Amino acid sequence: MQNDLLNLVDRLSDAGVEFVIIGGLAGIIHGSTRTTQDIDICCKFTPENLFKLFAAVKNTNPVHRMSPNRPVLVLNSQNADKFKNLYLDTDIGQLDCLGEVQGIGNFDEVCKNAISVHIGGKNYQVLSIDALIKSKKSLNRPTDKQDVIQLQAIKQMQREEKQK
Amino acid sequence: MIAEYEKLIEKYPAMKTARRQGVDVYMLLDNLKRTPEERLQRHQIALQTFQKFHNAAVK
Repeated sequence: MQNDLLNLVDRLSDAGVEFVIIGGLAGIIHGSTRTTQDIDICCKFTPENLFKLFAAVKNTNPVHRMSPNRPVLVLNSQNADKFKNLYLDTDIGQLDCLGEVQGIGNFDEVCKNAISVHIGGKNYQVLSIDALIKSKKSLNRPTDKQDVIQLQAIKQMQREEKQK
Repeated sequence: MIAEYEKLIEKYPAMKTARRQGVDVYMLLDNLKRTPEERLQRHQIALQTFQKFHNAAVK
């Protein structure tokens, strides 16, 4: 199956998962020209939310991509409250689910720093450009430094265009 | 179009910095004219194209 990040994010929304789009995909939504092969989201790590997430991806063969032998994602009442992060590979793309964002904080803090973006007839919560820059500065990997250069240019232009 | 973009680059210091750091600012300015949905659709097309090339190279 082809990598289909839009389908993946759509599934999460349809299943009612509480999440905020962060990382590279958030940068692309804000206007960055980079490409990314995964979706990074910050989500609520409650059993209820994780069961919704599981329902959204279960027929895409989700596996734990960072664990040896890539075990299949299994979610049940015994383990649903044990996860802090989930790094998944599915038939339609990689999905990284984080409980918190470096430089910003936990899901509640991330929600406070999110904006609503209309995509394909739905509203998605996306990390704001300011928070994304803050997070990427905090991570400080080479790819984040490149992202920050673009995001700062976008931010300056948008800010001044708004003031007109 | 180039003249229009050059004016914008001149106007915004962060755009100048981006160009100095190797960012294709014409592509960036093109992208900013699009809606978030259009940006995602174009990203999706780019990603699937990369994958096709990658798969062809691996075979």
